[in-house]
Amino acid sequence: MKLIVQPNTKQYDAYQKAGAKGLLLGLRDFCNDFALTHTIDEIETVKKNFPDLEIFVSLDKMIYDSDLSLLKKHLLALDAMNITGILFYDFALLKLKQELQLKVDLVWNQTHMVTNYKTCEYYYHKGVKYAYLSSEITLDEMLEIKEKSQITCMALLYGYPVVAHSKRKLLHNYGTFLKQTIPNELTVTEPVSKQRYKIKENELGTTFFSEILLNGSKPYLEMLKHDFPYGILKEEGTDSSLFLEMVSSFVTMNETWKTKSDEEKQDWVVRMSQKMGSDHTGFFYQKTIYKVKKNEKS
Amino acid sequence: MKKVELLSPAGDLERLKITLLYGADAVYIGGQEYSLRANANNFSIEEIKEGCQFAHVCNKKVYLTLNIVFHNEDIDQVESYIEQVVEAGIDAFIVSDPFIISYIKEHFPQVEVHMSTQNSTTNSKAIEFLKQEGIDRVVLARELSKEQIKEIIQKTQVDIECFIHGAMCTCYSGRCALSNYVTNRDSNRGGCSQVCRFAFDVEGQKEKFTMATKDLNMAHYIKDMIEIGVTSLKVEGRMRSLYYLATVIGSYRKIIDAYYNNTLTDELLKEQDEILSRVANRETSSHYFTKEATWQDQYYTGRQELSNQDFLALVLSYEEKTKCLTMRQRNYFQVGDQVEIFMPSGKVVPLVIQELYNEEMQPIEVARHPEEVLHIYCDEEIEPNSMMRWKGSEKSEVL
Repeated sequence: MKLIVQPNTKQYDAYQKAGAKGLLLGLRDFCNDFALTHTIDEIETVKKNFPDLEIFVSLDKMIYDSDLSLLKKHLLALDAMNITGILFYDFALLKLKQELQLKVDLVWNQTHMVTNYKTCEYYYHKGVKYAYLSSEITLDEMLEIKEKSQITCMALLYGYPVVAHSKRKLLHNYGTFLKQTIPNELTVTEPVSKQRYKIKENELGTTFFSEILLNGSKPYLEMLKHDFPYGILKEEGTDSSLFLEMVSSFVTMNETWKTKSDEEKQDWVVRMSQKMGSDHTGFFYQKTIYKVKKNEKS
Repeated sequence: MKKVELLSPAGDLERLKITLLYGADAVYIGGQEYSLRANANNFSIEEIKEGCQFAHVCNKKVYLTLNIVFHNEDIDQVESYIEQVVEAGIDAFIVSDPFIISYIKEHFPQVEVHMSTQNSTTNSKAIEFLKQEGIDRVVLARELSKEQIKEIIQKTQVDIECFIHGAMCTCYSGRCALSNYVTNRDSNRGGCSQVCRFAFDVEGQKEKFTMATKDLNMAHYIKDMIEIGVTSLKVEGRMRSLYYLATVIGSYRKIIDAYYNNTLTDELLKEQDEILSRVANRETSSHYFTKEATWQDQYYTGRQELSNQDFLALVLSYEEKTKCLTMRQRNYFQVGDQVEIFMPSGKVVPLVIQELYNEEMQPIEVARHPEEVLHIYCDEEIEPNSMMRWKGSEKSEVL
């Protein structure tokens, strides 16, 4: 498996030394879900300085007609850099790839909607090479997608998942109501479940992140067995030195898992959980329900 | 000029028929599979067939929502389901997962495919791509302004559908998994638990953080929407009541018809706005249409919903010879009350309840039992499926 880092700092050299095979960078002003974003020039510099790293660039914002002119310019610039792939949310990217005859590969990244093999296959036949699977599906579903689609799959293994995105300036609005200045980052708690969410606001709107660290070390071992192609390790919200340690640990397991006994692998999962301070496996082993019985309604 | 379509939701067969009678040009319904309202009653194949037959006799249309975001386990049966509902007579599918578009167009070219608002389409290039794929209509994201909608219509020449009335999501549709995380209910497969209407604790703050939105009401902008070229005006709410749908659809029917008849006045808009406010259970706003949504388009304190007891009775029949009106009670009223009856044709008849009789024609003073069959006398002929409500709004809303 290739391990890709979604960085929150610019210590690219350290990520490479830790064994990451690539970087996932957010393009400034075209990306909702990244705290650290990069300009086109910065991406070009990273690409030049780290030629051995696969560079993926995320353009996950909702595209409006007023964005199209600049978007075309950015796409042409990224195409010329020979990066590995562009993550897209909006269908506009598919149309622009055709119109501009871009050579760069696309990564289907509709956050919560990359959930089945049939749609992955649809995108593959539209020329999309990769799919960044939703964090809200199970490990079994991910492995089935990998088996039944020709698309190259990616999945988040470590980090704080994105939960929702609104165009509304929800923190600013809350502050206006309170007649107070509210910072553009706030942690809230849902009182029944006691779950905490980080809310961040910028000029594109408001984004919600889970405050529970996703620990994908256990499913990672299963994914390795199935030759799952890409894993994403997300730094935002984590301690930088701990993050590098995590990258190294995932990389080491990637290189050695075939020689490890089941017991050793189990020990590794336990140690990873202790270091991370989280044994939360998200939806890897938890199926969501949707046909709600009357007594399950909240 | 092609007349704009008024598109209504319908949660069951009764509501489908009522909303078409009250002026909808088309209805959208959910089947028992693959619909984003998994908890609605939803239609069986037989009910879809009956609904389509009813609509087609009225020269109207039925669209079926097939707009869940599919998981692997949902895929196996979808093709046979599509075949069954096409045979039942539906006119269009509303989809969000693009793999279905080409399947439907290839196998059932006579049926239209509409891209759901679940995809939050916000630009013309995305629509050009969807047009290539064979999409017939796009339901735009609710975050667009009048100028943005106009630009998209001019550039793409694809049929565009916009929401005009009802509840709003706080986040971009499709881009929200709050329900998945907080309640383990899948928001993109019909299980949304509306977490955006929950109140959250904030450390150090007395006031809870809330993000619930006010409802959408575009009554004053129907003229603008028609003039920029919107094809279809959509009302939200497959879970809404019979009375709500009859009232909302009836009001928008009047506004649309008045526009085309050159009789649309501020007075008519004011009158219809008052009627719409009587069935509203939240405050309303036009949200993004004329400006960016602001803090005033949201709620900040707990639940703000009102229950509504405006709907007094549903008319079952009228006997012309005896002038006896038979109806089914829905809310408390009594002899002496001033009420009005509004009909599917749009006509409104005011009346004072002079006498009231139970099913056995025994005189009574008070109608206090929901679903009880009652009789009154009325000089004016009343159409079946008419509804009785309070005259004026004094008694219409209680907390």
